[in-house]
Amino acid sequence: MKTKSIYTRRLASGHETTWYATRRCQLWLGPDHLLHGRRSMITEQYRRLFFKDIQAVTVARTDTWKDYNIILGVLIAGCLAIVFIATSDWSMRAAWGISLCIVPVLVVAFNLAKGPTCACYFHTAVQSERIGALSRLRKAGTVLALLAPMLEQAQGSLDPAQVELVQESGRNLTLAGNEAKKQREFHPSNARYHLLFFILILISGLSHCVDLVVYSEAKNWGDLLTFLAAMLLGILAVKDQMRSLIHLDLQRITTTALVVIFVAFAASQVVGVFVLTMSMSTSGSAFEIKDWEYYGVYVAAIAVVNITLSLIGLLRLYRYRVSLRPPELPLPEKEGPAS
Amino acid sequence: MAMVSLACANCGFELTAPVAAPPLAVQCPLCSKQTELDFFPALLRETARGTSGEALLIDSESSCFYHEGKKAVVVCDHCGRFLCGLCDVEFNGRHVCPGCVETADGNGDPAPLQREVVYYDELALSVAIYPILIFYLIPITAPIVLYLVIRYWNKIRPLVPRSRWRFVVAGLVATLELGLIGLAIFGFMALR
Repeated sequence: MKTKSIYTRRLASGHETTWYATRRCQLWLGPDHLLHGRRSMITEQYRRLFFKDIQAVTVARTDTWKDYNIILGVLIAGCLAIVFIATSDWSMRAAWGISLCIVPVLVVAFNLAKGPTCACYFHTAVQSERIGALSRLRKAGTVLALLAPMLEQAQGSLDPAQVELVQESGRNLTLAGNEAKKQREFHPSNARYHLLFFILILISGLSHCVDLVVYSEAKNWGDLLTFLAAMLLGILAVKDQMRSLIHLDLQRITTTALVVIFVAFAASQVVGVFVLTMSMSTSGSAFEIKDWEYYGVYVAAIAVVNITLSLIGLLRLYRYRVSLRPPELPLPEKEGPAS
Repeated sequence: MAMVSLACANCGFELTAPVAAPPLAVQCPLCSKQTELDFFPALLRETARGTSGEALLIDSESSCFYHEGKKAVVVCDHCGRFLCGLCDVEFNGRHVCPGCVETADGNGDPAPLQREVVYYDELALSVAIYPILIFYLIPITAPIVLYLVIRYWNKIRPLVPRSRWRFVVAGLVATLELGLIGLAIFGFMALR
């Protein structure tokens, strides 16, 4: 198996993550081309990108690393909250906190050390290949700097006169193999449903915080109504974002928040059934939800998740609203009195 | 004004930007991310048109193996068939026919055309290790691992440097598993 390969240098390796799977990718340097390998279970599929054929490279920063950090941050916060509620002994809290959080903390540190993630595409005349191995911005910059002289050697240097000639001729250039979404008819949106949705989630989260201190039956009914209103507004917001140019990061957090509150609602129903069963089986004094031993953990978890999601959502909404403002034009200089 | 059309690298939305000296930075209106575009001379070149086969003028001329009515212009470097301009695939300085490109993976000769490798060593290692969690599958999986190791020891043709350590580990684990099963059976029989 150990045959002499023409690929002696591995430029990068990384993972290509989709919503259902993660595939390991490798980028190897050949004598006159790049070899991109994409592993799927036990098979590895290859694409060759010859230096003379590469027309362009596109790179954009993605939010994947931020998403990982947020998810892991919420996980760490949740673990710590559970540990703090479950025991009052500080040595036990420290032991459980460290043992539960050490792995997510290390993953966050590793993720931060590797830097922001990116999507990098190599375009030839017939294909557009996403290079999963170049999934970090810093690594992509290093590899592209390394490849620049090889591309120049294969294709010659780009003459500014050539660019000017294209500009003058008015010839439009298209990167072949673009999987561009067709420009649909998008409506402008000020994302008002999103604003109300995130405000309601924030209210719900704060209300659950209050539950930790004061328990009130009436407030629980209010919470239920808030939850239902938030779900309705979430559905309207998702419907609105499907036909408008709302930023993708805002769309993602809205969808995530909607899914989370649906799950939380389902969980609350399960808890409700549990409480009903307990109250029916308990003779004598009536069993209330606040008597449940994990009630504090349950409420704290919902509060943490709701507040985190709403704050991220409101922050992204603010950024989107700022981007909608027209650019400020410089004021015309006042002409002085004619002398 | 000449424009360049590209897809946002983050969300795939279609973007356009005026042609200027690279690198260009284009902001996506959908995801608000900035896509940096660096292009090379290959983008500015006009795409060469493919050649169609030239028709035979006299019957005694050599014709293409795939198109009887077309004049042969080149010989396939791999199988020796006569090819017309349409069937000639130039690859790595060699002229090959579409049939050879198609069968390249099967006969194992032109490694530059290989598109896929099946890593049986990974399979053998997985089959050796994962069933440890479900131990009652080991009597079935351990012989399978040994079969995979022996059958595919020399069959994998990796394009990139790769050693055989996975096969070695898988073989050792499977042998150990079989040994333990044998020991367990022997102990059980001895106790009875």
